Amino acid sequence: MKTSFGGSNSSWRRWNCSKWMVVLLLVGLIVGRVDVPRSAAAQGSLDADNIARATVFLAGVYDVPGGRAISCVGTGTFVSSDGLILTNAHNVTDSVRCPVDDIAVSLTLRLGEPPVPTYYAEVVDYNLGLDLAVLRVAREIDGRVIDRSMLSLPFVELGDSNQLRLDDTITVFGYPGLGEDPVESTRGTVVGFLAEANVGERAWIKTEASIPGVMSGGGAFDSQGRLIGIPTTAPAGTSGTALDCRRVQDTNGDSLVDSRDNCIPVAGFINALRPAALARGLVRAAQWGIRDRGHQFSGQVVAPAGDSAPTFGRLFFSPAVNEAGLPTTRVTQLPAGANSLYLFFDFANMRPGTVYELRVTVNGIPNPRFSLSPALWSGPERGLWYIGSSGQPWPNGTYEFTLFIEGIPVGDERITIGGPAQATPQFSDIAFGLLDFRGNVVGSGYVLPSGNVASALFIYRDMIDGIPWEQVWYYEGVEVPNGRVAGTWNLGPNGSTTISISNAQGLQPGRYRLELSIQGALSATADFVIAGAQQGAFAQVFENLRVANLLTDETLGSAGSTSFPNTITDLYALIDWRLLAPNTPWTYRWLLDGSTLFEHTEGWVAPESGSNFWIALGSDLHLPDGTYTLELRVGDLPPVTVSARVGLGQLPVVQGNTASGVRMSGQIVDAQTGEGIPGALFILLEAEFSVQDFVWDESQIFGVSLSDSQGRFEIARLLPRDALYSVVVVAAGYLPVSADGIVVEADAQEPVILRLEMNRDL
Amino acid sequence: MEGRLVFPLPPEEPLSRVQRWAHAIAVLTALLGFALGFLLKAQIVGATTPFRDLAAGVLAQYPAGWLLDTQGDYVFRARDPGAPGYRTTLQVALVPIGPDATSRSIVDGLTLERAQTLAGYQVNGTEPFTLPDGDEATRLEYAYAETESNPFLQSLPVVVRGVDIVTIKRGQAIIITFRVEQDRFEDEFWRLEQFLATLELL
Repeated sequence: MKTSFGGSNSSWRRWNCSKWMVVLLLVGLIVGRVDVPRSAAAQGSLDADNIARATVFLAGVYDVPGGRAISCVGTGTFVSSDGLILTNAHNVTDSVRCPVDDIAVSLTLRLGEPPVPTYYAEVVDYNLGLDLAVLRVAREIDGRVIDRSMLSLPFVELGDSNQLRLDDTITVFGYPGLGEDPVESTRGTVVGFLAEANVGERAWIKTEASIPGVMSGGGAFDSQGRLIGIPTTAPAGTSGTALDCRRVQDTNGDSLVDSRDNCIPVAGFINALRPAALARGLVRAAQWGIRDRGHQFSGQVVAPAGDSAPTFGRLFFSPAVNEAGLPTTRVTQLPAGANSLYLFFDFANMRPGTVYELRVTVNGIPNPRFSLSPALWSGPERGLWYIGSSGQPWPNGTYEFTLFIEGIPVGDERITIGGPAQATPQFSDIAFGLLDFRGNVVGSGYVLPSGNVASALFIYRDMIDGIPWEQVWYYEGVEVPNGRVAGTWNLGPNGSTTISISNAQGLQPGRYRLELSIQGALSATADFVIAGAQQGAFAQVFENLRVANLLTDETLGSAGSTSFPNTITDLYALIDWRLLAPNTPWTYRWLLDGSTLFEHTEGWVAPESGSNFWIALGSDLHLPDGTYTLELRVGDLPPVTVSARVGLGQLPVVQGNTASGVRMSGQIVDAQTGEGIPGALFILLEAEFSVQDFVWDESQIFGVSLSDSQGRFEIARLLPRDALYSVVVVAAGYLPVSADGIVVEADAQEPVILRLEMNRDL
Repeated sequence: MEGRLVFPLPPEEPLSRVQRWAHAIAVLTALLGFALGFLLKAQIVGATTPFRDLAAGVLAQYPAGWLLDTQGDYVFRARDPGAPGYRTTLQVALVPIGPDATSRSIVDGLTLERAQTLAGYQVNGTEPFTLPDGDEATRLEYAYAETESNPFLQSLPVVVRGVDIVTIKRGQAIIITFRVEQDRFEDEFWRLEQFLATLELL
């Protein structure tokens, strides 16, 4: 970066014709000033300084006798200049374990120093399953409401976490303590990705970086300084008490800090990041002021699960996951060179906020690469779950997978990897459907329409005629009467075959399961759903989708609309449905101009059939222009959608701030004494204006800063690169200073730090 | 006997007419110079720049050399860039109102809103006010502590005194705002008076 100056004076005549000395005495450029301990000082274009300032310490606070106490702590990151913060949901959502009346936001005002409480924030939206939340700075720490349009805070941009590759370098920023330590950074590499049901192959990014649990909710950055992951772990514990908890406050007002006081839960160490791609919709919605208003049904809602304890069971391994998130087969051993392995298990009575964990040992030694530190449950209440990975080597050894719920082990399973491939009898790749007139199984694969018969097609390999095998059909977890059929194999070694289940009265809508065993051992299993009316070979569950902006008797009975003015505050997607059993998993996804805002998978809560189930979006002000689309899915059925245009039907183009650019700050000092000049006005003109062009119109100004008590100033917006800038500095009692030609080169990476000296006006 | 040295005074001669004129002209020239100096200073200090927004119906003269801003939620805002500390501000905003609104109710609304956003906001008084064109208005005087919005800069709060002139015209409230650092309020108040004298609300 180069800095050069050229004086200009004509515009000053009007302002002060007798004071004509334009003096710019010194402009210093200091590069590479990164004060963050253990930070990536030598790291290419990662601006550790800016990221550290954009990293905030979050404390949930609640009222206690005689004052306020901290309930939970964590880290967050500014993702917009007007104060949107991305963090973990468990840091900021009110719960028994973590009561939250307010969320205090502390900023690193001086690098190397602990953060200072500066603002209060409010939750804009969150996804408890993904453990992601977006906050918005709402008030000053003294309670004053903030005009967010006046904020110009340091922030980071979200990167594309899907572009991450193994061994990519990442840098994690966060606060390692309970607020007494400065922001820290730690560097590591991507060592893998963990897949999980509901999310897919990149549910988690794995790193070997050592990340303290309190840094949960912070940011992991790529070499370009873009946020690509959120370090995530949740404190585990039962009955509202975390396993690891710090007592630091007198919360019961008895003037003692002891076991009767509430404590601040802390997690252990983090070894997984939630990819930024999963947060993009939340952030995007928050930027546009759009909220997920959930869904509702005016009739009787099916009661949620009771207070039964959550359980995991039937743990087994599969080398692959099919497109419906189901195991292809069951294995107890894999040959050397395996690069794909998934642990499947049944779950029941799981609730949002339940903390679970997977610990993996290899030959008895804990292996964090394949483990998942405690995380919030992201699935529905019951069903089949998986966690695992593909595309990365699984070294030879004996693996033991142990699952925990709230820190208590609830199941484990072992598998050996190594040795040659063995040809053992095996079933695999179960798919379900209806039989056509040729006897072929047709349909979507795992969702069948209501009827009398359901058929399953599966592949068999290396079978031996004469060995016993068995099929068992289940409905909603209970074995179907006459659903267990045992026999002797007689179809030869390899091929595929079809089996069926039937009921003359019709198969009930709901969740079914087929288990295939060979010689008494489970070999393959898959779940399917019966739902909806038959539409050819497919099921039609949702119908008559329409959109309204109000819920009235009139709109409930109308055909809806496809176009709305941009003054509306809510959009309701109304749907009718047929034969969808309670607790059947279904997914809804809102998109704005083709980009996902919200996506949720949960159990169906309404009766089997009905009309006017609504799913809503809303805004506190008004919904922005755009095309809004709701997508509904059950299992692997093709999604059904409904769209509506608001205003012009396309999001407005916003020339917003960017997180890429160069920061400018500095100090204005007295030329004689060297002391900072408080109250000096530093004006940085837009790149297209020189000092001569400046007519004291604020539209010509890129940024302005009033120097503080030390004479320090800072332009809050980042300066676009490859441009020339001009500055004007005014201070009472001093000769004004101006300069043209400050260059910020295209490859400039480091902050521009100016030191400006001013002469007294005698 | 001690001797005394005596210097005889020259005999006094009356000033000539030319000398008397010369003295008078010198004094007059000096006075004229002072007057001219004051006049020039007043012209420079009181120099103004015209502002016209015919769409909003606002014509005014604001102090020359002040920073003009028309991008915010106001018609016009001018700030003194050379003011130490808080930048003295003149502002005109138009606010839509209901048919039953009075200038007093608007003042109350301003107070409630500012109490939420300005530190130590305190109303020092409200009173009826007559604009130079004869329109009736309400004058609100208040004070608050101005704090630096950039948390990364360390500045002490500055006490700001403000005056709002609120009037209703054509179904909308017109709010004329003057704010200045407390210590300079008396010295700078003429800025508001000068501004009001030039303000035309069409």
